[in-house]
Amino acid sequence: MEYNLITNKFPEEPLQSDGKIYGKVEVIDGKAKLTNGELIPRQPVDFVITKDNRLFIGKRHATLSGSNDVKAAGNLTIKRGKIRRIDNLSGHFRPTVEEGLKFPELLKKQGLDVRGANLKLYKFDIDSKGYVSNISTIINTYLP
Amino acid sequence: MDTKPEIANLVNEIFNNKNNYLGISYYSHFINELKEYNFEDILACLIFKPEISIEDILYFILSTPSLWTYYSEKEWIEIMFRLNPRPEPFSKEIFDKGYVDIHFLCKYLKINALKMFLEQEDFDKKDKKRLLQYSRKVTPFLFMDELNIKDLDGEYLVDVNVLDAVRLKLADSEKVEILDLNEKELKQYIEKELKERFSTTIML
Repeated sequence: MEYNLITNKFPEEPLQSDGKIYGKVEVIDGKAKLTNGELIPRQPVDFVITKDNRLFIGKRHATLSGSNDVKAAGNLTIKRGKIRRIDNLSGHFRPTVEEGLKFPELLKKQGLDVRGANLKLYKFDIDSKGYVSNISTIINTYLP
Repeated sequence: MDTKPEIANLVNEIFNNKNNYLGISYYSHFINELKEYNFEDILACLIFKPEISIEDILYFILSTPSLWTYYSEKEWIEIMFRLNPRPEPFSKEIFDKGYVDIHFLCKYLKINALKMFLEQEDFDKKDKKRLLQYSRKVTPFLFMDELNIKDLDGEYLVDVNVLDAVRLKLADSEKVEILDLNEKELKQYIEKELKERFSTTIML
């Protein structure tokens, strides 16, 4: 499978002050953990997979990626180290459904067990300023 | 939007010492202090703090049911009023915490908050238009799904049965309508309101 980079649609924008990196995710026995020992929040978190295949979670995709292009961007919901939901919700990267369909494989390459996770992928309509003006659910499925 | 310094200090204490907010068990340490203030003042303060996201606020609300389960439609309308003026509906971000009340009422209480908002004669027409445009954008996120419901277990977040009871109590008022529409029907309802009230649909 080929993984083209997903571009940051607002690369010139300064990083938001509320951006936060919770940490880099490592995988032990198929379960996600933060390398800094912090707990992974149970609520949905922003995630990116960088060009060099590092998985970061936190707040604000541009902060997580350092404004660089990425292989994946969206939200993850993780409970007790297990992925419960994957989506492509990112206003800065706006991954297409086609790009989002590659996310499970990219997460599996991290060593994560994505079986049984809910994959939700959305289509974004963009207005003349480049802002999302409408969102439609295209994929809502549980991964085998 | 005014924020009271004492609430801001409490909010700082709650949100600054962790990066992962842990539901009812975490917020229970602060619940007595939180009860000293109006819920709408607390919400206004949370919205004002740039480091707090809409997701943080929704999970905060779902973790502190004793602050709002007794609210009637009057109090919710006061909250709506307090959160006006509403932000621009479209920005670089998908969600805007300036609409957190709408997200909560629609998604978790399954109340037609759009109708409630639109029926308020003293609300600005501009806010009503923004609300409709924003809601049309985020329609899929105004509904709960099975994963959301699993978290409403009374331990991590408020019990789903409590939400049902609050909804039924609110729906006793003739001013409150249960959101009994699916995603497609809600989009159609929003389109209709936009067309009838503003002779417009969304500019794509």
